Amino acid sequence: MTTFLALLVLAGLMAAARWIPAFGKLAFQTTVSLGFVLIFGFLVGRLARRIRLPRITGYILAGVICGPYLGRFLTGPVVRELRLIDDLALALIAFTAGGELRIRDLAPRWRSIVAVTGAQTGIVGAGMFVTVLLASPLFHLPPGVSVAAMAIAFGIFAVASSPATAVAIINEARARGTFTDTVLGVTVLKDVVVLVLVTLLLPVMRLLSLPGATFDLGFVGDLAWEVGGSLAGGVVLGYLVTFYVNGVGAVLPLFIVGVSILVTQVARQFHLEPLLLCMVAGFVIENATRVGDRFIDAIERSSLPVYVVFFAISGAAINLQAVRDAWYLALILVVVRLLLVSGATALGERAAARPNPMVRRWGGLGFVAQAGVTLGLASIVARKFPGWGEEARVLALAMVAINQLVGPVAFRWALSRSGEATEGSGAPARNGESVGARTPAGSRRSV
Amino acid sequence: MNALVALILIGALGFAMGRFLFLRPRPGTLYERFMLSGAEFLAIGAVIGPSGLQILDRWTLTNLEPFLILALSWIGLLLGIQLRWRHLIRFPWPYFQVSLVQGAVTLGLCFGALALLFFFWTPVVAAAADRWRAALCLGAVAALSSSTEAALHEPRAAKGGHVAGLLRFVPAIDPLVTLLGLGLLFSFWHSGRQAVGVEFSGFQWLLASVGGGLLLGSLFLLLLASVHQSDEAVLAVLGMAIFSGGLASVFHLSPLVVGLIQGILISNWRRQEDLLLNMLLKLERPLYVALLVLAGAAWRFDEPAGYLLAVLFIALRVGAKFLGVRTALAVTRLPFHVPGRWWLGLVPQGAMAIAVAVSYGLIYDDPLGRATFSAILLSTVVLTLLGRPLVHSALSDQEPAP
Repeated sequence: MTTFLALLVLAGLMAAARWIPAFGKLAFQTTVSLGFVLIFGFLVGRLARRIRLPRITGYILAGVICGPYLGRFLTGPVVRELRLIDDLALALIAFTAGGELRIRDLAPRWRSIVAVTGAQTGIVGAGMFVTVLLASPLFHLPPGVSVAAMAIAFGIFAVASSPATAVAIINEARARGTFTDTVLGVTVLKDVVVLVLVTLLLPVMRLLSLPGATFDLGFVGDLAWEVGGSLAGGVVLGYLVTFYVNGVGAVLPLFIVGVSILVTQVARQFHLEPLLLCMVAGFVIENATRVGDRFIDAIERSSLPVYVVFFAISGAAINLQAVRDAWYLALILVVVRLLLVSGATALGERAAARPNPMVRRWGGLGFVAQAGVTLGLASIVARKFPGWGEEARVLALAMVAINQLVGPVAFRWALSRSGEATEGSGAPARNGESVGARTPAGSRRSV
Repeated sequence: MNALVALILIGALGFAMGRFLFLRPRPGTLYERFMLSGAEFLAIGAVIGPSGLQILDRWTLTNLEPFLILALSWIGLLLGIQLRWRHLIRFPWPYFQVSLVQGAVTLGLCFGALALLFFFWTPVVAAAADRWRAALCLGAVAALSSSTEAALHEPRAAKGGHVAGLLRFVPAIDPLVTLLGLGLLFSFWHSGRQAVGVEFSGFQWLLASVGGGLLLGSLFLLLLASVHQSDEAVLAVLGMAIFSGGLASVFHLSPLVVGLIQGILISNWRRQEDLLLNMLLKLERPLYVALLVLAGAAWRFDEPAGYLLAVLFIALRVGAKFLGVRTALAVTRLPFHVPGRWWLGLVPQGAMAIAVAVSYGLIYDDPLGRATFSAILLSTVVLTLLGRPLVHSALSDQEPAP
């Protein structure tokens, strides 16, 4: 009741602010909207949990409800301003993802992780390529457009999944175990694979769709720099952070927030991949130093507001117009992708030393969610291929919208089925005020 | 410069300087007073700001305004949350009388004198409304006194006794007079239709300020009722501070005033105020440091009008404070003797004055507004540097602690 009442008062106050004709300078609008998103997202997240949906689905729904396409509490320019927080959120999530990958837990599962990643990349990529080729008459593409190039793009889109959503759901469910480790390991590894795929296949797509384009091998050097540089940068960053934690140690949550923003900016300047860099840093800190617990705890202490804003703004950015225009095509692709991902995961898991029946049966549901990586790829495609890129982007947006709404629910359900979700079971959290220090087998505090 | 990178730079500077302060310079030196005054952060801001080396340009500063609004709202909340009725009633009524009367008289005298002066002359060309606003803003700032770190490090203040106790009490209460003045300023000299597209009377804007604060306070209470974990409480405090500050700014009202009203409501309604207070205090220092650096960066020290106004303001304020304290002591029956030079202890000012200046500068960016902002910054630095000898002198005749 109090949650509903709070939502009503909040919406009333925001409506009063929107009633002001001038609605203030953009800085004022951004401030009030940021506060609104934080509280609104948090409250809707609570309601979502009450009906057994993941909190992050609540955050995303909150964004959809108050975004520029529905409630219009948030305007387009404000959403663009608030997207600045994406960098911070993604860096924090990447640190957490890296920190969650503990060698001692992953070692027994490495064959499974590599096999599932390989199977997903091959089967899902190829399967989606064929699907788009076959379904191309439904796309009403203008004459002269290379369907093959577009099919390659959708093959890459389909392979990508959302590490941010996976980490957030794992944290929320306080999940730990073989199923969780496999899904997380594959998600992180796939992030690198997608990076490689994009770099390798973009020149091929250019060759197919742009008349007169030539094959330039310069991309190999770029790829080596991007991947190698990010790996090396991540190792250096990991040790630098460790040095700070050991040597100074003060205001750690603020320090991590600052480092996250700074690293993202610097990585962009040097054409490195910030997500990979931060994941490697988190991995190094967790596995090669003794400050892993302090580091991850500090991240989690500052993560809730960042997660709420990040997922709510992701929801607000969901283009409902695109969904309306392309929903039937998007739905076909979403269903095909789900089948391909589930099949590939089951097949890959068979190759494991000790196959886990839960991964084989429900593992595919851990890779449904899509967000930033896919949207980023879609934007690149739209920019580089003016003939068909925009159509592909709109369709990709619709796919992401559906997957991002369905994915968290599906993964959360799969975690419950696997028996690894401990939230609400009275099991201790890894940290948090309501509980004590980290426990050896405990999971982390909820999102 | 990217606004986020600028924020990190400011944070890093603040943190580094914070660490540097622990080196504790030799007591009693001017250098120590400078390092304890917060003036170093203003100086850093001025050097890296648009009027200095331009590491922070105007565009970046504008992008950092949400952060300033958060800081102001946070300060207002912090102030309000400490005004718990059941704690306040432990103090004798004459203490409140002295605090409020001296503040009100100082405000009135400074406002009156400056309004009269601005009627005939201003250091820059200004419209009539701008003159009234500037006079009231300076009057409101004049009412503030501060138990600055310098004053608290004065051994006589730390020793105890009624007089020293009163000197610590007054600066905790007189911001109420200042924020009342600020509330009146933002309501009766509201920027109106031009800025927000709505024409209300001054009284209606005042009602909007108070009503908005109460409504936001109620929302805060509802939100706190659904909070169960500490990270959720952090989110609630952060979200409410940003939202209420932003909402006040959209309506061209002061985030300080709206935050104060919210804080008072929460602290007197809910039993968790200690938890909230601790949470607010945790971020107080970084926010203050960032506020000072950004205020320094926004300071146009190359415009001479501010210096002239600062000299005038300091002279007027010292005079008004003297008369204000004299009046307050004359109308109040204190159970102990207050030395004649005690009023000097209320002359120093602190970061709250800067917060008021920033709140004013965010909304009123006219030439006289900029000169006012500059004058408040300068006078705060000067009076803070003089804080320790003034407090020393104020307490030189006090009776020993009971």
